[in-house]
Amino acid sequence: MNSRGHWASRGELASLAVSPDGYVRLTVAAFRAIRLAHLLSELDADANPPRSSASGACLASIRGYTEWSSQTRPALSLGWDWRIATGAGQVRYLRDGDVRSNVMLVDARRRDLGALATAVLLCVAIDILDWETAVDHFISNRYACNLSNLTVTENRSSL
Amino acid sequence: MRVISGAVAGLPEGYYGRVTHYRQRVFVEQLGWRLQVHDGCETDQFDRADTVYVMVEDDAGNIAGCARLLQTTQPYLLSEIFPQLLNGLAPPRDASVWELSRFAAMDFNARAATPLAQFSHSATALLMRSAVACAAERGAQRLITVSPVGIERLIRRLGLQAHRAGPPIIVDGQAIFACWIEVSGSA
Repeated sequence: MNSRGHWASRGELASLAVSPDGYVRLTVAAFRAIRLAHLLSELDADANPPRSSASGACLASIRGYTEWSSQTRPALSLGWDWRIATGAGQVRYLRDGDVRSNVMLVDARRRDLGALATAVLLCVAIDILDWETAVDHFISNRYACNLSNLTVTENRSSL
Repeated sequence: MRVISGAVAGLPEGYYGRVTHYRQRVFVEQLGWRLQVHDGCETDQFDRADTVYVMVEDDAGNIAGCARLLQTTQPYLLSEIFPQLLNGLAPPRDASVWELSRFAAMDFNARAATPLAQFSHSATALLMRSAVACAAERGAQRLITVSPVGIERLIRRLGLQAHRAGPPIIVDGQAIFACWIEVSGSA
C-alpha cells in the first residue's frame, strides 16, 4: 500500500508472530503495508437445483466465497463471501458479510482493538482492494465449461 | 432427533460401527477423501479408547451427523498430519484444548446426497452445539478444528466465537483449514 505506511511499519512487519491464541497481531498501518494475494474462490452451489430449470438455463442468485493470504510469515489469512449483483446492464461482485481472518488489529500500544472493530476495519480495507477482478478471473476459468448453462442457487444454510 | 456421545466403551452397542460406517459414506463415498476403510468403516489412528464421538440420530434411527473430539494432550489429527495449518504455531498440548474433526451432517435420506450437502440439513446446528457442549463437559475451553473452510460460516452463524488459525490448503481437491472455537460461554 502507501510508502509512508510501509516505512512506518517495516519494523513491525519483521516481527510478525502468531500469538498462542492463533491470532496474528498488527497495527492497521502494518496491515495496510502487506500485500494480499488471491488464493482461491468457489461458488456456493445448491445440491438441489430448482425444479423449474427444465426449460433451459436458469441464472439464479450467484454467490461464493474467496480466500486471500499474504506472503508474510506468519501468513495473514482473510476470506469473505461475495455475491454477483446485476443491474443496468452491469455485473458486479459485492462483498457479502464480514471478513473472516486470523488477524487481530492492535493500537499503537499493542492493545487489541477487538474482534468487532477488527472486522469492521478489515472490511474497509477489503472494499478498497481490487479483489473482484481476481475472483472473476478465477471463477471464470474454473467454471468455464459450465457457464454456458449455469444453474446455481444459493443455499446459505449448507455450510 | 437425539444426540449420542461418549468414548467407544460408553456408546450404546453397535454405535461405534454405525458412526464409522457413516463416516465412510460421507468422507470416502461422497466427498472422495482418500481415507482408510476396513469392512465398510472409516477409521484411523486417532480412533482410540479415549476418543469421544458425538452423533445425531434422526427420528427414524438413522445417523444424521457425526463429530470426533480428541484431547490435545494425546496425538491428534492436526498435530500429526496437518501441523502446517497452524501457521507456524506449535500444536497445542493442553488439557483445555480439544480437537474437533470428522464433522459432518449429511442427510442420506435426501433426494440428492452430494458432497455439497456435507453440512446441509437441520442436524448440523444440533451437532455443532452438542460437540461444543460435550467438549465443555470434559474441561475444554477451546476447540481447534481441521475442517473444510465452509464450516467457518456455520460456526459464525451459530453465534460461536471463532477465528481461523491460518490460510487453507488444498487436500484431495478440497480447501481445508484450522479454526479456533471458544468453548467458554458457548456451550
